[in-house]
Amino acid sequence: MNIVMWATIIAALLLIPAVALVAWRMLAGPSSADRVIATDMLGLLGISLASLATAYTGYTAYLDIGVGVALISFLGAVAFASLLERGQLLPGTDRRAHQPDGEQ
Amino acid sequence: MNWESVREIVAAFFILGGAFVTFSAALGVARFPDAFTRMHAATKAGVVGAGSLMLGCSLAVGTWPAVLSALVGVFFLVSTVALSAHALGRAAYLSGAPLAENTVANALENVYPRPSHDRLLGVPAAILPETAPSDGACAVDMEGAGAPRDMRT
Repeated sequence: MNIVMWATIIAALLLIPAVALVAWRMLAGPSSADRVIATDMLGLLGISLASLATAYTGYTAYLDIGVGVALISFLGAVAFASLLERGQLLPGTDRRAHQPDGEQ
Repeated sequence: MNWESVREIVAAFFILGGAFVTFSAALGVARFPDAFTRMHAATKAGVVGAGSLMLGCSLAVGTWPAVLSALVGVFFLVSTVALSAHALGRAAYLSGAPLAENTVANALENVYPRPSHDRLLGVPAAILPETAPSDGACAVDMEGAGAPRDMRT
């Protein structure tokens, strides 16, 4: 086995407990922002595992999957951030709904 | 030493470096005391970890389309992770994520109204003790339990 296969196996052995750690943080984070950050990080771990799959099998398609996941997870993180800032899930339950327009 | 072995050694270096950085960042996300420091760790995993892994694996494959795909991916990661980190950090502060105990300074202490963490999550306005504010100003309680922690005492 050449050095690239060894590196891929060692990298996969490093990334598996990383997934477990970040999943624990997503379950145990005391605030919603922690869970959003952990979800974003899980997307990045998925990109890393897809890249390892392309090094292991030789198919280039897994790299393109990683690029797509990067874009979509960025959009999801920004959407979650906007939701967290506004602070409401349903219209009518916002405690800051009676402010004058344009103020935070 | 031909180009094959150089390419393989560089690919192995990138793969191992990226995996180590990603593992360290996951350890940081799990163990850091604050939402903001965890976001700090997650962005390093995003750019350095995933970028190095993509570059290393594309060099392991070796063909030009793979390397170009990886370069496009690294470009997207570099340009979007910083934006999402800024948005998430601002949202974490404004939604009341608790600051760590050993926080030294809070530069946004009186700049933005910041609700307490447990008073905002998912509680509908109808069942809260106080309902809509009467004067139309900011509805966040700045004097009570929701005020930012005073670091000077």
